[in-house]
Amino acid sequence: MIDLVNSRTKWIGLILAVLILLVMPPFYTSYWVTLLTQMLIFAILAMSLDILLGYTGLSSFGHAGFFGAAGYVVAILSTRYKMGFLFCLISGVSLSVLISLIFGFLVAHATGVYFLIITLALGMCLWGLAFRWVSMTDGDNGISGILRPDIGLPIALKDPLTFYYFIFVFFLIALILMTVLIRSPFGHSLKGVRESESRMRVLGYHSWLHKYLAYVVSAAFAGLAGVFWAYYNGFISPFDMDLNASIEIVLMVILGGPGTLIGPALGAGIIVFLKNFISAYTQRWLLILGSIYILTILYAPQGLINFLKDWLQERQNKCKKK
Amino acid sequence: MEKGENKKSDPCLVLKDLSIDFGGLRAVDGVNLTIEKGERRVLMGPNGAGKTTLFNLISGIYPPSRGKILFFDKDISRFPIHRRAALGIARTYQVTNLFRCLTVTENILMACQALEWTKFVMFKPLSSYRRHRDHCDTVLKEFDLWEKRSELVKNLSHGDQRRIEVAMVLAEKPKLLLLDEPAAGLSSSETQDLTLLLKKLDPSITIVLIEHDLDVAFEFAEKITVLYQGKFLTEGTKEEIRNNSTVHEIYLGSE
Repeated sequence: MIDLVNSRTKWIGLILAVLILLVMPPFYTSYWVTLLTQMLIFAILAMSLDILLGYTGLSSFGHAGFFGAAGYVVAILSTRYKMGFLFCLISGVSLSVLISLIFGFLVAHATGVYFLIITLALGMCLWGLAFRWVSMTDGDNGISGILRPDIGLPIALKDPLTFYYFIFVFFLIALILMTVLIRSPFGHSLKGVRESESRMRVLGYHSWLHKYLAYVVSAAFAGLAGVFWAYYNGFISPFDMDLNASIEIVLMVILGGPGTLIGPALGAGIIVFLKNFISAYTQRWLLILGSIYILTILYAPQGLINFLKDWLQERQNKCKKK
Repeated sequence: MEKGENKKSDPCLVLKDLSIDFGGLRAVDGVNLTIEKGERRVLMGPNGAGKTTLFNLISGIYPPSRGKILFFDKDISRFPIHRRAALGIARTYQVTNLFRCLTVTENILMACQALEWTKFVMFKPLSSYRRHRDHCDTVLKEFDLWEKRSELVKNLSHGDQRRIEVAMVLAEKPKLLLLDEPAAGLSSSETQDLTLLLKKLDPSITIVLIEHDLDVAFEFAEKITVLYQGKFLTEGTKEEIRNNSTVHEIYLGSE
């Protein structure tokens, strides 16, 4: 019934999104196109965390680790070894997956606060590696000079607009893949783990395995975002994967609405916007971010997207009564 | 020797000297129990008798400190929980344990796919599995939950939730069903409905029921086992239990 009421709103939302993301960009200034590109990259990242945080109920505080690790792979392979885009993409995502396959053995046993602490610690390990393994990562100088990928097409990705559409395609693919995932039997099982893990076990689910797989899938998409971040920024440093970065991703998910995929994407957009736009005017953008966070917790604890949904529902109900 | 016994009868569940210690407390102490295939058995006993702990041991929540659990002659004492479920052991909880923020249909579907390999499929929508959906619909209708199928479980009444608790485990088509006070907190009419429902279940399913309500217990089972302070106290038919003075003593207190 809820879907019926909202189907019109959903269409309006979809049309708006298509307009803003697909039709309008040629008319934006290059500043906005670049900003939008960044939003999409972080949207992929936030959605990847949503698989864990929103659907499986596991709050990972080390997600920037996967993001950064994949970014470093791209940086090293493309600047030192002049590897092409496809190779960098596959290697970057593979490294994230590989790390998560190993970390997964440690984290998948934990739930709640313990999961949070373990992922935080492991994320810090990756950060420490980027910071201290100077011969490989250039320490806190970071690696610069990553060129936009040459994908062998007549169009050049140096142009912000073409690069934007390039990222947009991958964003769509990631969105579709993750949507299919959460609607699949496996995605359904993740919701069960979130709601009651003890019940899942008694029903016959090997809940550890489901959490493990969720962690790996989530890391793969975080790695995908990291690959694009390195190409987008042309530069990667340990600060892209420190604790602050991890917390920011969690904030994106919570702000947008965990367990909705679109919500975290929206949250990512808002936070990237604030970070770039407001920090141009004031040094205190973290203060504003903090206030927004507090307001969300107080007035829209389910996240913006659910807040919006409830609000629309209420309005529609009022209209019906009249 | 054992083979000869098997031919006579094929017990569904055999507990041999089963015990578990929590620190210094022996919650279940050397329980021996044999439950035949298709049998209806009621477990009784005052609070702290170890009934729920016994269920936890059988379903695999705790490993036993001593003794064996045989399920159709297979030693499952060290099996993890999900493997026991895969063999056909299902249980309900005394305190409702459901997926509260999912709909009734989603709850039942979770059980429908629990023992199938399809639960790992990532690239096909759940709704495309007709088999699960049809099975889920049958269960929903059977348990009178059809009208409420798209409601969130947390918004339903306690009675409905208790019914879902039973519906969910039956959706798994278990061989052994462990029901932990399914009527806990239900009104007398709801309890009656539930008892009727339980009586109608497929007679090939073996059912062990924990029940405090003597009327429900006597109506449901041919044989009743009484536990007291973690130990096996007595076992018998309705009349035997009703006339047993020790049972009276532990339930009503001695003078």
